[in-house]
Amino acid sequence: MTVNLTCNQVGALLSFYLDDRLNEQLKQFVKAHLDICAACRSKYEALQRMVSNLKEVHEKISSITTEEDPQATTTHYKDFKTNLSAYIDNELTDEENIKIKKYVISNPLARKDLESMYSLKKTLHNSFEKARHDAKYDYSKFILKRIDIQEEVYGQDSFIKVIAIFVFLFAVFTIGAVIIFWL
Amino acid sequence: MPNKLVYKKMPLEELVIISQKNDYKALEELIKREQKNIFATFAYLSKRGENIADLTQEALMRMARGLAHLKNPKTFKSWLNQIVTNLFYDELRKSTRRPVVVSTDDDNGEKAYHSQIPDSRHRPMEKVLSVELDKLIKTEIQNLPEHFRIAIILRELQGLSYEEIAVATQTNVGTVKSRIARARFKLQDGLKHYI
Repeated sequence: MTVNLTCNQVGALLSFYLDDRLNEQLKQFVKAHLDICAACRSKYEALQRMVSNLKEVHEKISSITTEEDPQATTTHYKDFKTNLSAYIDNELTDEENIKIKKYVISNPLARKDLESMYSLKKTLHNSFEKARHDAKYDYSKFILKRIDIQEEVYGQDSFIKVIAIFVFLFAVFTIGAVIIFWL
Repeated sequence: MPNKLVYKKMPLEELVIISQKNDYKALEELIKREQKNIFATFAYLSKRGENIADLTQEALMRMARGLAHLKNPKTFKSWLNQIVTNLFYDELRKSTRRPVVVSTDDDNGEKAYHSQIPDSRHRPMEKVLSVELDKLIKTEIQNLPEHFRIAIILRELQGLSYEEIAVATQTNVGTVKSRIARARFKLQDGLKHYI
């Protein structure tokens, strides 16, 4: 069965046809129409050109943004890289902070670096939070007990020392008294 | 008990000061506050899982014992992390001499047990992914040279300033800055497919 599409119908289907998103049957109908209708064919060719131009431009842009190597080797960029980590830790002077901020605004590569630095920080933070959460054992009672025992031992120690001193003094005293008594 | 709540809400510095006056309840709270941090710190510092609990206990013990000798309570954090760092270095030195021991505390067995409990917070797929990522992060951190590892962990996990890290690791701020920066670049490189 063949269906003859009108120019309007083909016009509506054209961009889908170009992207190859029509089913086999519909594709055949559109193709049949394009073979016989010069107006629609020229429309189709124009559309095709436009899309391929766009693709080209897009490729050019992405190649420019990925090979920004000349920028990556400038001293400005190197300075930025060395200070970036301290910047997100808020450990720079005001002057250095402003420098980084300005550089990030004007340089897309730097902006990407900054974003990935923040995302690293966030990833680490989440992981650390989890590790903290996993620490379930409570050491406080055990440690207090151990300290308590030690202090008791120390306490006994000093008590014994005091007694020993007393005994010693008493002994010296009695010996002294005995000697005096002797004489 | 209202008293306990007071301790819970107390700022760290005040808690340190009171603990120094032999207030055991304050000391208890201080230990409770710091133990998770210390445990997590050792979990990332130490390559061998079985030592983490021992190291944590020893660090807390040294903290509790030494607290009376801490002159400036403001420096508590860097003082505590100095204890942690020293313990870690001691452990490192010991472990180079000692053969690897296999622990009877089966780490994996525990994880398998955990995974059997339905967890409403994460969907299974996310959980698997985040567990995988966690493992990877841990490995990447543990593969860092030890100076870098300590610097980045004290910064990101313990939240110390560069100055405090410099005190805890006995270096200067410039060194700390470059160690942290290089640690980050290395981690970024290792985790580039995940972040």
